[in-house]
Amino acid sequence: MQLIINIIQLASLYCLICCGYVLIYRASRVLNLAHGELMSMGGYFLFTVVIGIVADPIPSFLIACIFSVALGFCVYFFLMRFMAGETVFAAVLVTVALGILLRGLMTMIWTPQLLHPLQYLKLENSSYKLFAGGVTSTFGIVMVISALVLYTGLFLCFKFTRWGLRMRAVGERPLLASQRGIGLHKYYALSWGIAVFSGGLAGMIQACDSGLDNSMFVIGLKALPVVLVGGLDSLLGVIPGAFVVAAAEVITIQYISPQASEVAPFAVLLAMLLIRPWGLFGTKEELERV
Amino acid sequence: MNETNDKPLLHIEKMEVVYHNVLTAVQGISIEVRENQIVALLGTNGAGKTTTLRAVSGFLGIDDAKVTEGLIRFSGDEIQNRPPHLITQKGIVLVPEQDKVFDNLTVEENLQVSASVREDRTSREKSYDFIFNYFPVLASVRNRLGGYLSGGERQMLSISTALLCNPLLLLVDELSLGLAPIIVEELMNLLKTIRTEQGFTVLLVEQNALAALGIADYGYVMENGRLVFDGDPNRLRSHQDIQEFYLGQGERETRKSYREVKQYRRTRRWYG
Amino acid sequence: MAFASGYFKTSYVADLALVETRSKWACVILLITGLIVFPFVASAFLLDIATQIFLALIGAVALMLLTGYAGQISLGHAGLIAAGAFTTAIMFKEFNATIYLTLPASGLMGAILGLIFGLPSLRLKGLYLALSTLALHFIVTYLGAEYESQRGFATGVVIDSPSLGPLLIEDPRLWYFFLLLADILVILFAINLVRSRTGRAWMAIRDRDVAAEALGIKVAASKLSAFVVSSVLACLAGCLFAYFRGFVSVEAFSMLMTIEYIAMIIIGGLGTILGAVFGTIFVVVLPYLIDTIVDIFNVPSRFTTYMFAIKYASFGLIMIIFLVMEPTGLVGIWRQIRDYFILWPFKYKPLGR
Repeated sequence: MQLIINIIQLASLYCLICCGYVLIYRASRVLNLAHGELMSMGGYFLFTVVIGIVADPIPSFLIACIFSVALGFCVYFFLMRFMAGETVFAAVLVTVALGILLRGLMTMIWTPQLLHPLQYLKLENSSYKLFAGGVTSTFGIVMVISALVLYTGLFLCFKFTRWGLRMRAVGERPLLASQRGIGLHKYYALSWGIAVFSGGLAGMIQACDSGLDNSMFVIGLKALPVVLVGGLDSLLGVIPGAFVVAAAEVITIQYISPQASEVAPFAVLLAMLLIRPWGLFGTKEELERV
Repeated sequence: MNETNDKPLLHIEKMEVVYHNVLTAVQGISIEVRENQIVALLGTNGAGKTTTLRAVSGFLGIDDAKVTEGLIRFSGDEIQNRPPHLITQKGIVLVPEQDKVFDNLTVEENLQVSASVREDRTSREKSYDFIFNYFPVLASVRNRLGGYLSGGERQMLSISTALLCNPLLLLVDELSLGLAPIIVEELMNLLKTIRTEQGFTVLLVEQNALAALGIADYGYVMENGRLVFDGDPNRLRSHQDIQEFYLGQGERETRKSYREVKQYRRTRRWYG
Repeated sequence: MAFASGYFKTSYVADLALVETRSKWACVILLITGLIVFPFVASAFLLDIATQIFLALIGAVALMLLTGYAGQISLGHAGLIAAGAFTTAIMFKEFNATIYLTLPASGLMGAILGLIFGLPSLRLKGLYLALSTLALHFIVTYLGAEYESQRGFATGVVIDSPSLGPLLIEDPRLWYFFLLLADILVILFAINLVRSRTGRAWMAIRDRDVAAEALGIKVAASKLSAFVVSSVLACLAGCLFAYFRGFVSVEAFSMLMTIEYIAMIIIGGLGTILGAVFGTIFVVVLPYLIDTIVDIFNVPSRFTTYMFAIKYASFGLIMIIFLVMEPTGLVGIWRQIRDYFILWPFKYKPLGR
């Protein structure tokens, strides 16, 4: 039972992070290898807000989320906008370089030591006993609920609102969308904003759950196999992908070794790439485009 | 020249387009398109027609090309080298040759995307009706994904989405490409009808000279980046060289050897 | 002085020659003399930097062949170097092998891993291929970590210096010459390889692999050969790496190392061996440059405690600048300067500027 709870929690974490990967891929056609670092930035934003601005849970999260969205806008506006015409390889490397830059800045500004924003929030990450002997924590539950709310919200928006429709159009054929009068920069910036927001939210919740230090970006790297299993351009595919990778990881921790669990997602990735590279729900032509 | 006294809606003056700073694709062409006209731009592959359309609609930057000399005037404003969405806002809408529709959106959603750019709700709701009047086929495939449409349906959808953007000038790139002749005829006639009823102007780029001259009010012929001939359809149809190279009617009924043709092409002169 | 500002060759022999004119020969001889004299006039610090450059160059050339010439993107380079280093370490610790055994063994391991890393390339391209190499990198480093923990070398494996016959290569100057010799061999090999049929096949695949297949190039075999050659060189580099450091531990072979090598080939300029050289020099010297700048500007000590982070951040920033502003890299800049002087006073002015 505990295994299942762990899988669900880990899968929710991956869902939040990977929704960002998919949105950015649909917008900029690039795999944002700095997402792990952007996610950590969310956690650090929360920490700064909590010790500097306001220490109540809801406002501080809100303000930190606004910072994350702004960070997403900035990354698009000041960096990714210029990589629009370049090859995918160059754009991916720019995100790698951005990740390196952010890592250096994070270490410089916030020091590499372990931080706990939770203690400043005057909250406790108490554990709850669930049925059949499983145990979970407050923020574990928060993680699952956030993932559910975010995904439902995004699905509804994409399907039923005007701007959701336009974002889908822009993600699919930017040239045609531009010819039909849709301003591309607006929607790209929006994609980046939502993506960094969801990653940042994951970072914040994770920081409250188990502390914040400059190695959190590794989680972002381990989340990559999720989007490949699900399909790089499919939001729907993130959910099964998250469960598959989370299950692989949790089961490996239990039955093989914690060290091996770091590698388990990548074994899944390799298997998926060899069997069905475009993922469970991705569009096959994506394979040829890169 | 293209008569009537008032100023043309679109005036391309001695335009030169250069790719990658080294390749001149279009050399010094001048084209006038007057209001409510259908102007055809003819020529074979590689003549520079699509480049001209791209220059007008603002999409040169993607291929690292630039208008290096000359002007493009739309209702008096200069629009060369401006960003594409601004040009679309001025009322110049392009029906592209490739990638015409959104494959993963339904027909209805495709139409919604174009219509949604307009602000008030009432004009949005009105829009679809007139589209389905002109293209009843689209009504019957309303909920089909764009990627599953046939060639003719796809072209119709593309024209419809362009119409929903309220064009003053419609640029059509290779309307007939890949379509059966009967559909081509139907679409061409529809285009003429819609133009007359809705009151916009059309610049039509075509390789199928016969079909284009059937509906055009004026025509230009391009070759190797230069304008080599222009006139109203009758003048074009009666010119020997046009007949031979674009309309498929040779004056000799016997077969020619290829060598003769090549030499003939080389010594051809373009006279009025 | 003729630096070939035109095409003046009159025989096949002249066409195939590596060094074209007598002036170029003069430059090459000058360069070699300079390199030989260097260790006797330079300080130990500069000697160390030069030796590091030579060591990194082998890995950079390996990656350049794979990514720059064959167009196969690989994010797993550090894993290959780690494999070479660990093969050396394992053979040394378990079998007490000498360099005569470990070097070929590393090469063999490179060939095997090259096949494994290369198999996904038959099915995948671009980003997907890069991710598969990334996954393989993590698997390889995991295996290395497993060896370390299973055999109790939690902090890493210590290796003795290699001896070639009577020579014990321990002195910095000896290492310099040893690595210089290795570099010259590798560069000559690489230059000739890219001028050969194999190299041309790689470049064809890089540009248009469908057309390459249509022209009769066996794309699958070529791609695999690219991976194998690159991996063999990378593993050999790893072996030398292990001996040079005297110490093998899995932490040294992180993603950062892969990114450093990728930076070398990109900053240098994709698609030329000279680019690998320039890029390696730049990336190896950069941290020391930052040190010097920090010293000159008397940066407050609050920041200097995070020198590593500063170097990290500057590295990222410079990579971004190069990727956005100068995609042809240092080689592009070098060519513009060189062409200006060769063609002076006749400068070619492109249209439309």
